[in-house]
Amino acid sequence: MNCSIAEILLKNIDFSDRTFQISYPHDDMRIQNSIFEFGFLSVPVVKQKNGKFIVISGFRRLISAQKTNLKSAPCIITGMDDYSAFRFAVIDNASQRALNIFEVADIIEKLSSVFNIADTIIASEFLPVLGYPPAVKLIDRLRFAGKFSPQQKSILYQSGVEFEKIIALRDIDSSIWDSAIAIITQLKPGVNKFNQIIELINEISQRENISQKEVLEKNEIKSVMDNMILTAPQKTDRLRNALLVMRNPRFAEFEDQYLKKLKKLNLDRRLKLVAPQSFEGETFKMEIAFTNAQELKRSIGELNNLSEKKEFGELLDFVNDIG
Amino acid sequence: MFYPEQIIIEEPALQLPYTKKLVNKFKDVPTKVICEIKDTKKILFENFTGKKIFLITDYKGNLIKKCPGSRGVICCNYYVANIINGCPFACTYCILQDYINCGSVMICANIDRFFDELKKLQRDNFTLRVGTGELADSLAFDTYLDLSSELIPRLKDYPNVVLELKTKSACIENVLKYDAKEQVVLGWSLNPQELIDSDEKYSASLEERLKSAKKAVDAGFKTSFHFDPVILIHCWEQKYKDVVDKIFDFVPADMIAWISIGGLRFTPALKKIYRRDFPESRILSYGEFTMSEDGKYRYFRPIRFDMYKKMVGFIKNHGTDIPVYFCMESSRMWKDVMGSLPSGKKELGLTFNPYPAFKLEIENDA
Repeated sequence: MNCSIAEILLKNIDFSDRTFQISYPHDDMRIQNSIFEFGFLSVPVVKQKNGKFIVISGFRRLISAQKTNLKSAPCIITGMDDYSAFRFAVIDNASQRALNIFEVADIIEKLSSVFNIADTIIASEFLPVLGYPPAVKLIDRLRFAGKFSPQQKSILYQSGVEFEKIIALRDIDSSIWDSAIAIITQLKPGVNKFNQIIELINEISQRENISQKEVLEKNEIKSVMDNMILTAPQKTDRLRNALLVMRNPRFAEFEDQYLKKLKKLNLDRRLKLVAPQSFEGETFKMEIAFTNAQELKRSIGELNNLSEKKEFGELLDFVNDIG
Repeated sequence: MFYPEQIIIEEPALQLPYTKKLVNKFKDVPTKVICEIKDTKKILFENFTGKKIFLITDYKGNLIKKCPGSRGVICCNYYVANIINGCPFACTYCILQDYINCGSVMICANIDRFFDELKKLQRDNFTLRVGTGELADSLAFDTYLDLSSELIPRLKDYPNVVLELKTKSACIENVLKYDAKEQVVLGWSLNPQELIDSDEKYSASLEERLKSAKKAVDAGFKTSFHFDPVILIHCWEQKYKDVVDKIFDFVPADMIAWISIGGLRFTPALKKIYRRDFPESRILSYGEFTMSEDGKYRYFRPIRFDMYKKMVGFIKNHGTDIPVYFCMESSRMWKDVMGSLPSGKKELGLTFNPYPAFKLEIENDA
């Protein structure tokens, strides 16, 4: 491979050509400070194109140099063809640090659209370098992270949102990405809860034939999101419950009535009546908690009274007759 | 339509007559012989990804099994013969998506084994219902595979057996060649055309299915119909009522052997596959699902009750004696909707004829 080292004037670098740029975010204050204090500890790589130089590796370093008013920088000038240069940029970056999801998405997008590389090749040759298994089906998921606006990308990056949550946004309309990103970053739900929230929004929208945006604009949801008193975990649970009630109105109403009837029984806290799963089966269970024989005796006495109670019979009938 | 691009034959199956017939029929398709199939999916994924494959085996396990049913549901004493595993249709709700979704069709060519098992299972004075439509569409491949010609002519030696060929296709020509009206029931799974379009890709239209049913009836065969799954789309009542009414435009009530109804149900694993593979489908968004004792999601009980009550009503409008049964439903639902368990419904005599309580010898054979 032909290459040489030279001091290059920054004005001779075409910073608008970002073919080989991989790093996200595009600038980093820490690099700027480092260059200001120590200069170039690692030399950028460039190649000539149309009478100018374009950056293959070290984009952020050279941008930082420009910002610190340096006029030139030492660079390795290579004669690699574009595809080899891109491969080099990928391998060079990936060998120095774990690339974030937005960088990976950008690499995949460039391999496909700029270099016309098939997904099977991307999977087998590039995914392992990027720290992923060589699975073709993974490519679409990774590519998805490149679809956000710069602002959305920045929020997701700054908040350190996990890959799984970012990917979950694929299942919703891009018109509510901002709202969903707000849910992720402000409420910080776990991956499973967030996936459930997304699924519920999706299903309600499909069943009611309304947009996902309209689902989120419903009063039940807005009142939760606008509530300033609730903590983030409380808001997450309220949001999920509100969506569950909207998704399963009959079940929610039935459950609500059941709980009211259960409350009327005034069961001692040591007794727990468990209804059949989903009110589907016929068998109830009663759990008794006790620490000594006396407590057990008292609970058994209460159970005897319970079976005689009119409200208890009503509760059983209520569940049995739901058909 | 599914036409194989590759045939893989397990070496022990090479000498079987049905294998020879198939090899002769697909002379133009590349064939590969392998020693023994231990892990079908592994073979397919490693060597033939994306290809349409017929995998011909000398299957060592039981070909006939009692319908597995499910925990907490009433069983209809149906037996399933899994001679062919795989289906050319892409029904979004199908359990096969979860089960054998590997782009291949497995053909168990040892047909004699099927009849050996049938011999052990049949008993005097009761009717054994066997169907080939659990892990396959019974007739979708029949034009190519002609399995019906392997099975139907030999059925006469098993007079107490009724073979149900359940399909979403219109491929009945091979069956109609045979005079087996007492022993073969031709069955169709039905749904409103709107659902066939959106969620039963590559299958025959409702009209084509019903026209085939009429053809079968004209040839003297009894028919069966399966509303399974019923999916609670918008205005489902009217849409399903229209389908029910349409059946009787084509088929007289006395030529219907039975009609089954089952609400949409799915495992959590199938839901994941469905969401991944069919993002455009909306069927899981209709109705309200709750988890049942058997680990499957079903419509919430009162919703299901309402669905069954109406569906049974639509059917019984055309004749109270038409045998109607539920697939995979609890005894409670039977009592709530039908007023009794199947044993109390005289019109279900044939369908639910209680199987004598004997241990299945064949289960211990393999």
